[in-house]
Amino acid sequence: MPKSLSALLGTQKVLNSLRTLGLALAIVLIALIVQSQRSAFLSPENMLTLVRSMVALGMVAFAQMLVILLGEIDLSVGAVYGLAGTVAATLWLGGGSLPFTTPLLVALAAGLGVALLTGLVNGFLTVRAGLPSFITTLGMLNVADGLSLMISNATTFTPAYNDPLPPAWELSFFHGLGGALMAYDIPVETLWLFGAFILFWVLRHRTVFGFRLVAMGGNAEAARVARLPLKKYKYVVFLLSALMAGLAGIIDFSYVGSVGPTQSSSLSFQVIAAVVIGGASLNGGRGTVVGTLLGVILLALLNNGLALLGVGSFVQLLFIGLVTIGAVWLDLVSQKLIRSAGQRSARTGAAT
Amino acid sequence: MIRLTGKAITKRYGATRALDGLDLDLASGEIIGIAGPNGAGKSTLMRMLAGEEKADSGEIVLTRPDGPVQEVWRRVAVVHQEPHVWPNMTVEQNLAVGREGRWFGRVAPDPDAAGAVLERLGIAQFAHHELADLSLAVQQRVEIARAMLSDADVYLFDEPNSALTEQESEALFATMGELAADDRIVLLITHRLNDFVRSCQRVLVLRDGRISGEINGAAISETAIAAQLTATHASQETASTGSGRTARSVQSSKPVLRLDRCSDRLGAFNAVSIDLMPGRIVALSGVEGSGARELAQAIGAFRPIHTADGSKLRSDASVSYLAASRRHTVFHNMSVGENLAARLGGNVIGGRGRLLDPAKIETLARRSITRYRVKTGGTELPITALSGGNQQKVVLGAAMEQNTDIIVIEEPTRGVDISSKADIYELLRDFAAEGRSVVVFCTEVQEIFDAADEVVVLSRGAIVGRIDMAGIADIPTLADLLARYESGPAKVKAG
Repeated sequence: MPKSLSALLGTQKVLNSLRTLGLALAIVLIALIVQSQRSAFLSPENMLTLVRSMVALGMVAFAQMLVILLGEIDLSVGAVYGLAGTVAATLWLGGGSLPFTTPLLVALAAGLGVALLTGLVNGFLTVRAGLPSFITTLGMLNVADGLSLMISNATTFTPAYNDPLPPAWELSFFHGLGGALMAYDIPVETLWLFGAFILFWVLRHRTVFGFRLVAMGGNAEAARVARLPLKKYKYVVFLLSALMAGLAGIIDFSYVGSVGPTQSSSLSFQVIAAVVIGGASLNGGRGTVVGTLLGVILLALLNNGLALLGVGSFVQLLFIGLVTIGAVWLDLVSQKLIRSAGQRSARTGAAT
Repeated sequence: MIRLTGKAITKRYGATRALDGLDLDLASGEIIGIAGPNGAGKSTLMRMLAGEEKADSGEIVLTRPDGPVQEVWRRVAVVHQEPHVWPNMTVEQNLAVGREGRWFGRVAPDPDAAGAVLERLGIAQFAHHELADLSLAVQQRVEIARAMLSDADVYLFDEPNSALTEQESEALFATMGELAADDRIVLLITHRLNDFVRSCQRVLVLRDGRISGEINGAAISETAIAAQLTATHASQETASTGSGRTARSVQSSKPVLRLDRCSDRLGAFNAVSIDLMPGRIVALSGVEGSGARELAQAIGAFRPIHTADGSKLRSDASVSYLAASRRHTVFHNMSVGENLAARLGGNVIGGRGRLLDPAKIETLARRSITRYRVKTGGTELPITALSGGNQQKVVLGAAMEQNTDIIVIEEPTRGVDISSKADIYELLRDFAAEGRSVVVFCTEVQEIFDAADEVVVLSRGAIVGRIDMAGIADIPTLADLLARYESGPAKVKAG
């Protein structure tokens, strides 16, 4: 089938490519501006810092994109991220409110297990009890934060200086999960981001699972009539989202070398901002992995660039908020413009 | 040969019995029509066959040559009246949902089969477009294509051609005939009696939750079916149509709205000139893409329209507009009364200080129910409890209560039963008789014949014909004239 440009212009497919291109351009533009002000920006050290800061955000955002694709939302990821690290640390190192300790591998499994459990509860309450996922996961955000503080007694855990010191192989294994450096001082952590990107790209664009998520998110009623397994898929995306949040928490713990009580809701909102900037629709049915990655890069770049420019963290926060709103607004306006231009050219193209 | 039998199927919703011990015996090889007034149980029966709902009692058995089928719904394909499709996916992807095949790789339907079906339905050029970019008519055809692609034993068509033109309907019926000839059970549910005559070899009449009559072969005619549906309605309708036509000659010198070489900003129609005269019902007619629907939307102020010099059209005439799909006109979360008041401002339904006045709304709702002939148990009932026809009357009433100079309606009787249709045409006529102007966009010749005082035919964005209905004696004449305008290259003046 011949695809003439005029027939395709203004269609959703073209809009999607254009918005990806626009996002990439915005990223380049911001990078240029920052570079023109601070030459340290493009230095290898800063680039590594930048990529490093994207790891947790990206891993969690890819899974969040699937949740949003289905028309749901998972606000609890930030707290689950903290909870998984805290549970693993408390079990491994002791010193929290738990009366016993376990070997590292058991502790890590328990951390991920607890994360999966929160995902299961999110799924259960959303699917079975029929609560809106906004409420379910907002509640879970607080529950998980509370659990973290209860279990850890708000202690900060640092494996390398712990008393008693864990066995050497455990320390090096744990360090190897994310903190160890490879060639050119690249931390292992970046491999996780890369791996997650590949995995989620295949899942979203090359499996029936991803295809059906798009269908279910686009028209749930039609999906029900077509007898797609909507409930099962909802469980799966909440489990995936929680698993990735837990995994990211443990990897970050490994890289940073310590874990302590944090205000975790900010990660949740950064993750959702990245997904939405990446072109996903909160109504469901739209969202891509590449778009999400670009959203993650944009946010990480802004954080990094603004820190380099030394505007201060208060202004930084304000800026991120404005960019989130601005990006989505700009997207809406440009979509409208391009769509009407496309319709016009399609008409004239058809007439000749 | 395949047989579908049902024994004593009963289904209740609260106090109402949707199906009341219905017996059914259907065989493959022919198109079987199911006629019935709104609320007779057609939709319930359909949902039951499709497995979307379970019967309270009774059983449905599907017997293939190799024995009875376990889960009947797996062998049933449904074309819903409101397309159940995915606006965020391409036409091709829509066809693939639910039959994706392999778990990994790019998902696409069997290209040969899908291509043939799309070609047949005339939407092959849209295969890679997302549905959100396409019209309702195309979306409905995608719904049909989905059913055609499934290898089912039973095909259920529920008002499948309500968004199709005459030619497209013809093609659809031909395809349905092929399915039947291929030894499958094909069921057609529709409000257009003429469609039964055109396509069916057997028509079952459903009334009050059971099959009350059956018409076979040559005995099938519109009058025969109408007589079976309700004796009283049939005679009323012919009477009302006759009286309506005599009242048509209301003429006034000043048009309510004058379009002088107006164009759509997006090029859907160009240099269109129409005078909307008070007291007249103007029907816009044309196939999808002709610009007729878009022109209706533009007159309804739902789409930007420009005058010859490129400036925005200015008009003092107020206008209210009703879209084709009730999904876009009915407030599903509100009651009948609230729906009737929903389009009105604080100056009408507000009391002191423009605060909402529930008593005022209630009075208005009660008055409107009588005035617009809405059959409902009360103003506080949810709108979704009403039949399609009565919902449409509520929507129409709400728009008319706005007291605008012009009312624009796309497909005023889409999915509405015959008695409600007659009511709606009469309401439109009464509205016009008050010196206002009515514009309807129609896809059915029957509807144009019943409702319009004049017809404006569009093709490729231009007006290709105008018909004064005073000179039209019967439906075939009108259909013939419309077809000639739509196919002919030159502009002809007639009527």
